[in-house]
Amino acid sequence: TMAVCVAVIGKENSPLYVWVGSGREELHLHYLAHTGLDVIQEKVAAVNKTPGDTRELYLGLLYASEEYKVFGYTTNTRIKFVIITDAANTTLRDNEIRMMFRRLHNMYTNVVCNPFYIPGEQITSREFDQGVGALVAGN
Amino acid sequence: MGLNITEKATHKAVWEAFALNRRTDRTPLHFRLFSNDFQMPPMKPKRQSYEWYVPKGILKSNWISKYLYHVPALVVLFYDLDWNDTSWTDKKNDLATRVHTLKSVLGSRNSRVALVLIQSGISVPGEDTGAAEKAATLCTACDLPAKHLFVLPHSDAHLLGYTVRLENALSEIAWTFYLGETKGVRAHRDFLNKTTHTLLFVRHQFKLGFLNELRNDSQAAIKHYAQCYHLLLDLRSTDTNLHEIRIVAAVVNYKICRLDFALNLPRDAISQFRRHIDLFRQRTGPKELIFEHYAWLSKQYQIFGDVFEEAVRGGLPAVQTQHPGFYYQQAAQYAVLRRKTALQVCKDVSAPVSDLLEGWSKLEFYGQRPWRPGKRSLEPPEQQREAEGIMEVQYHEVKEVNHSNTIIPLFSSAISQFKKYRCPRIKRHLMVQMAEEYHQANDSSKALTLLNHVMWDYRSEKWWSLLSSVSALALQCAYNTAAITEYFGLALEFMGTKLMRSEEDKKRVHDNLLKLLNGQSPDPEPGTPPEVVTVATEAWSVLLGSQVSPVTVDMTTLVPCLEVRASFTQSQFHVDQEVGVIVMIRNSYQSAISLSALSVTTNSPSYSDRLLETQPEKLILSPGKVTEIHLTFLPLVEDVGKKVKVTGVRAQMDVPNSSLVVSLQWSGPGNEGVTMHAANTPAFPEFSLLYKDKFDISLPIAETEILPRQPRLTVQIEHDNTALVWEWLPVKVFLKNIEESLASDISLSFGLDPSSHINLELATQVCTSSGLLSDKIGSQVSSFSNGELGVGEESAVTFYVKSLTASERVLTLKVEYTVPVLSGGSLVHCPCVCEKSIHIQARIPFQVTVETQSLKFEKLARVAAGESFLVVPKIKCISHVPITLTNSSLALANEVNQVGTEAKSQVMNTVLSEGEIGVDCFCVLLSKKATPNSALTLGQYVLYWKRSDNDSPAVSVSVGLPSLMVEHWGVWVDCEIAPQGTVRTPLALAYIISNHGVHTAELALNMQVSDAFMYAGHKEVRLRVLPGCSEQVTYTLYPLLAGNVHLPKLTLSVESHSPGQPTSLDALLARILPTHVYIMPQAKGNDPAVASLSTRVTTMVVS
Repeated sequence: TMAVCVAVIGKENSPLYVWVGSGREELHLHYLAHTGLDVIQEKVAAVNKTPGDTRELYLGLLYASEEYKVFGYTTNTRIKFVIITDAANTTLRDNEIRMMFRRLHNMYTNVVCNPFYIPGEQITSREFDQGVGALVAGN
Repeated sequence: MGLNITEKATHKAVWEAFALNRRTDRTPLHFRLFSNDFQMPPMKPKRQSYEWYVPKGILKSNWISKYLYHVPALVVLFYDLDWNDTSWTDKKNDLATRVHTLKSVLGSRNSRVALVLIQSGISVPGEDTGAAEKAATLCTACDLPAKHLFVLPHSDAHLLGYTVRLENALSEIAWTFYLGETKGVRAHRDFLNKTTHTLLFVRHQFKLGFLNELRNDSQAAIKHYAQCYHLLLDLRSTDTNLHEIRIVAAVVNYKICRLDFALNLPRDAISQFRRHIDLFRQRTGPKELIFEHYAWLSKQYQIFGDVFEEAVRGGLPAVQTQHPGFYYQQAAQYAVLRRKTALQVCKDVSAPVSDLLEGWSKLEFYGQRPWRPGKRSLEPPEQQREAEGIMEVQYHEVKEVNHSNTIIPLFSSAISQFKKYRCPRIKRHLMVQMAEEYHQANDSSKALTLLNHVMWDYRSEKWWSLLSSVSALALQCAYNTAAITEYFGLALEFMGTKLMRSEEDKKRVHDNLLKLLNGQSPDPEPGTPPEVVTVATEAWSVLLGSQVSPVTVDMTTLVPCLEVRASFTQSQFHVDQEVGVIVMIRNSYQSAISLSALSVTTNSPSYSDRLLETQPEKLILSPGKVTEIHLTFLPLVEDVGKKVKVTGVRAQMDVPNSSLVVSLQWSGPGNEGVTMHAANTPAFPEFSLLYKDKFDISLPIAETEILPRQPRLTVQIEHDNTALVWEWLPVKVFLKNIEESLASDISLSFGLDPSSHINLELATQVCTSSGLLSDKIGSQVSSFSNGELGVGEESAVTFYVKSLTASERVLTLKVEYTVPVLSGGSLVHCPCVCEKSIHIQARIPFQVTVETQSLKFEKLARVAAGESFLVVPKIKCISHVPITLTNSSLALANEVNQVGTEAKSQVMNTVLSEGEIGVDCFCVLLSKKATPNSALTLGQYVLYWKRSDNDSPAVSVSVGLPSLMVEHWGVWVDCEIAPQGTVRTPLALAYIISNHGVHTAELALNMQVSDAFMYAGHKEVRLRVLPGCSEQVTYTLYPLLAGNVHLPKLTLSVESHSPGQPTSLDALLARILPTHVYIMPQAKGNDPAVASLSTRVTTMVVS
């Protein structure tokens, strides 16, 4: 698999969607996704100080523990995506992570376009579930 | 040595200058004060051959401290001796003896010796020629190189400066010692072979590194340490010697990292540490001692964290993603893992029989096993003894090591680092882990305190998964410590929908709450160890046994299963209306919850007893439903104009016959703090429409305004919307009482709206009819008392408004009165107010222009003293309604007088409509005394007028008259002629020429001929007129033509003129003399038409 955890986090930092790979320590990964917000906040704040240029949405590696690597991405509407991969998975290249985020962003856009979805609410969508499933499986 | 710091003050000062308060910028040196009888550590006999030598371990544990503290690099002998000392020779010999003794003590160690003479006087170069010579003899006597002799002048002022310089020179000598030692170590290397001496290769590189470090050569030191580390990895390792290898590796790694940081190479340090960890993480060692591996890893991270932190304190910048906190965090996690694995592998360890661990802390080599010290064999050791040894280590690990004492400080270090580098969420995660550790260490109250800090943030960021896990731990801690308030709050939160817990779990917690309310201890949380349960049960029963003070749970900080919203039904109430308050309570627990009371508090305490619901049947909250409770109160008359605000909601839970009362307290209308996160309030209010639950989207009306009673007094205002500037515009107010009782204390205030501009305030006057004559009229009439009105009675009041500028005004009328009403059971006088405002646009009613004209109706700008002329004002009406000019007059300056005493206004009682013009006319005479050649302001024209169609008083408007130039003429001519003549009938004409000047006037008179007349008289004549006299020149005219005919023109010129007088008088004559005269045709018979015509012409000429 490509990732062990995928999280979509709202503009006020509350989780909208958290997927954790089966057999993983769910709580620990929730904590990791949550703590990744610290770095995201700093990175976004640093960029905002220099106005003008359009911001790069992909924030890169947020931090790495012995077991996991935490990557971040933020949309212009301050929705954050966090993808956590196994630290042991060294074959994964930065570009692939970037592509995953881009796909996730597209999927999120589809969710928001659904007139029955209320922005800011938890995402409960079968299509999104399937999309995330495909995303983490790497196909 | 040689310093006697206890008895000699100078020696003490010298010692302190060297050894105390060393700043970081000074050379890192270690000083020891030797007494005269010190001993050196014994030296091992030098080995002749290494051929048969087999080392017993890698690093000797005493070597480092030997070189740090016991073997001096340099021994400095201090001695009080001045160059000019009287007993120089004796002291020289004494000194030589001492040096020799010292050298013998040092023995074969290569420690250097230096001599410092403490001198009291300052030697001036060149003066004391004996010094150099004496120094040379001293060196020879002591057998010391000249460079090892120093002089330390002891003067208070510069002691520190001297010591610093001396210190640098001394450390140079000390370094030569270490250089010598490194050479010694290198010399050994040649004797070594690679089969039996691999351990020595490692040891030698370490020594070289260390000695280089001592001589302050960090670059070389790193090189040797790196070499050492490399050689160490080449060693063959088995489970038997792994522990020794990793301990040595840890020491070397520590050295490399620390030096890298010191050389400002943090990247090198970090990558060295990474490599170190990667290399050893997989080498776990024997399974029975797996915890040792984690203990080692934890220590590695902790040490690196310390080294990193030390570098940061030294000025290294760290960043959010790379700082010591990460290493402390990992250290703490490995420490936790250490305990976890220890408890697993040592499950059934029993107390050891023998004590194989004796001497563990003082082994000869680092990292060896105490039961087989110095054993240098990779063969599996003696099975039985090894197993016993391992068991003892296990026993020690689980029974004698206090893991929490290791883990908690690590978390604490990590937390302070993450706080420093702005990682609040990681910090919170660590706090949770630290709380878990406290909980494990049976310190639940500390754990609970930590968790309380953390949970607030998880609630406000809505991370329910994290809150659920933390909340369970917190509830456990609250149970363990019998913290009843926290327990209640946490339990109510636990029962809510936001926490992801099973229904059974929630029910269990609810049952515990009911037990508590009944005064019984709650059941323990699942998984509580029996010994903790015993303590907790005891604590609960003590707590519940005594009289329990009421428990107040602050719901604002929780996401509980009960949510409230208190709202006024409207944002405004009149004081005679009942104020409605609706309290909605949502119960998101799976079964019904009963309250015993519900109250709403406001900022006005007087309503509290009304805002209370205690009927139990209304306070049963069905599961998953919103219960609405309606409360009302009648506001107090004193609160009129104030705002009543919901400050809190309080629900009470208790059970009959139980002493425990629990209050649930919400601040504000219930949506403050984190409470509101319990609701599914939309993140974007735009989407509120999509929500079905009213509870989530309704915005409570938290405050309501108490308005005065709705007045039932009709007020009508009649006025013209367009006012004329200057006029008194009447505004009529009609009041009618349609109340059911007498309206008393009626008072009216009328005036310019208070928000109007200050300029308008100055240009507006408002008064009542009685105030019209008053001088002081402002823009407001306030509190004009109008007595009282019985039921159905009417009254009217007229106000007058004068606008002094043409602009729009807003005027407000406020009618205040009181009526008796029933309030709170008693009859009170309730004030009522009604307000109305009107708009008035003012416009200029007319424009006045004034001209001065000569008697010939010609425009006039100059006038001679004594001359009569006309003042002609023209009034153009631009008002939208007809105006009546009631009168007009002139207010003239002293120099001018009106001609004729009964001169009347020509426009009196004239009515002008828009566009019409009225012309007034006054004849005035300029006094002869008027100052010549000056501009004369004539005065003012005063016009009295009013609107034609109402009865408001007339007002006056003054208009300034134009000013005129006053002329002076020395010669004046008056003409006397009948107003008309008849053809062929002689007509008399006389010119009276007067001299107003002071000189005799010589004049030349010339009368021109005219076609219309024949005349008799002087055609050309010279006249002499004396001052103050006049001459008359008479003519008899014989008209030839009828009509308005030209008179013969008279010209006068002054011959002998006084200065400043024009020679020609043409200009004056043209203005004052008639040019034409009417000549009637000869009457044919007695024609009445001609007769009447002649009378009309007469009047025209006069006017």
